[in-house]
Amino acid sequence: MTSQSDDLYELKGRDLETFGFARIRDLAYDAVQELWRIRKSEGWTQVRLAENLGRDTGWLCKRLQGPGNWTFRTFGALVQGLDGEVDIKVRPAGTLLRATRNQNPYSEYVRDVRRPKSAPSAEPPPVSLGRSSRSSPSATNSVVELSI
Amino acid sequence: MSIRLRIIALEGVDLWRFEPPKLLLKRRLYLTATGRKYLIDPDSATNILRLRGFIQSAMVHWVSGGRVRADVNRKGRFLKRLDPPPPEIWEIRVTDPVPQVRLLGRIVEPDTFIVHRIHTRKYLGDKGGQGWTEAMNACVSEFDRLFPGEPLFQRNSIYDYVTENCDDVAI
Repeated sequence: MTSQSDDLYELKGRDLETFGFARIRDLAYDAVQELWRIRKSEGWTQVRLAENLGRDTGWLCKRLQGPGNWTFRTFGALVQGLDGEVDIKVRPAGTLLRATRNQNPYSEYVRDVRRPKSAPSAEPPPVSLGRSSRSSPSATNSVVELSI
Repeated sequence: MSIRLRIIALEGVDLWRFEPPKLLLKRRLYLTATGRKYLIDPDSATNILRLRGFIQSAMVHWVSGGRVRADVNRKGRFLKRLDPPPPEIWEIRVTDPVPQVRLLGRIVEPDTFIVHRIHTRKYLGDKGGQGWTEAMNACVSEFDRLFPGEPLFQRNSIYDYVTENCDDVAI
C-alpha cells in the first residue's frame, strides 16, 4: 500500500503558474542569500551593498529579508551589487536525481523496505513507491537551478 | 512503538507522505488527513484564494532541503516554533502571497514535519488570539489521536530539528 496520491502534486493552470513563480523566486532568494553570507564573512556591510546599488539601507534590508517584492531587476541588481554572477540551468525533471547518489529520506519510513540504504549510482533511486509514472503536468516537471 | 513505526503504520490512512516525483529530497513532510484536505479540497479557503501554488512551493522548499531560516525562540522567517502553550507547535510560514498562509504542525523527528492544519494568516487573527489558540489546540488533539502516548520531540537548538542547510542568524 502506498500513501501517495497524485492529487498532492499535480497542479494545473494558475496554480501551476503560481508554483513556478514562487519556486524560482525562492531559489533566486536562496542563491542571493548564499552570496550575501559569503560577502558578510568577508566584511561587507549592508551600508556598503546599499552604496553599491545607489539605494538606502531601508530598501536593501527589506529585499534581503524576503523576496516578496522582488522582480528580475531586483535579482539582477543584488547579484551585481554583491559582485556575483548568475548561472541558470533549466533541465528536464529528474535529471539531478538520476545523476546523484541520493538517499531518499523516506526510505526508512515505508512499510515494505526492499531498497538498500544507499541507492546505486547508475540507477535513479526509486523515489516513487507505487505511484503511476504518467507524465501529466506536475509541479515538479522541471528542475531549475540557480547558482551564483 | 517508535514514532517512525507509528508513521509507517498510519501512512495511507491518516498520514500522507509529501514526496514530489523527480526531485532530490532531503527532508520529510507528512500531511494528516485534515492537512491534506486543506491542501487539495477545491472548496478550502486556501484554494478558493488560489494560494495552493505558494503553499506547495513552501512544501517543496522544505522537502528538497532548501535553506531554512528558523529559530526556536525568535521570529523565524520560514520556520518558527510558536509560543506555548501548547508546546512544540511549529509553523511553516508562507509569507509572500496576500493573504499569507501558515502550515501548522509538529516536528516529530529531525527533518520530519507533520502538517496538521493549513490556515490563512487572516483566519488565525491577532497573535495570541482565539484563532491561533484553536488552531494550535486542534493540532495537539490530532497529534494525540495519531500518536497516543508518544513523547514530544523537544530540543533547544534549531539544529536538532533541522540538521542541514539551516541558519538562525538574523540578516
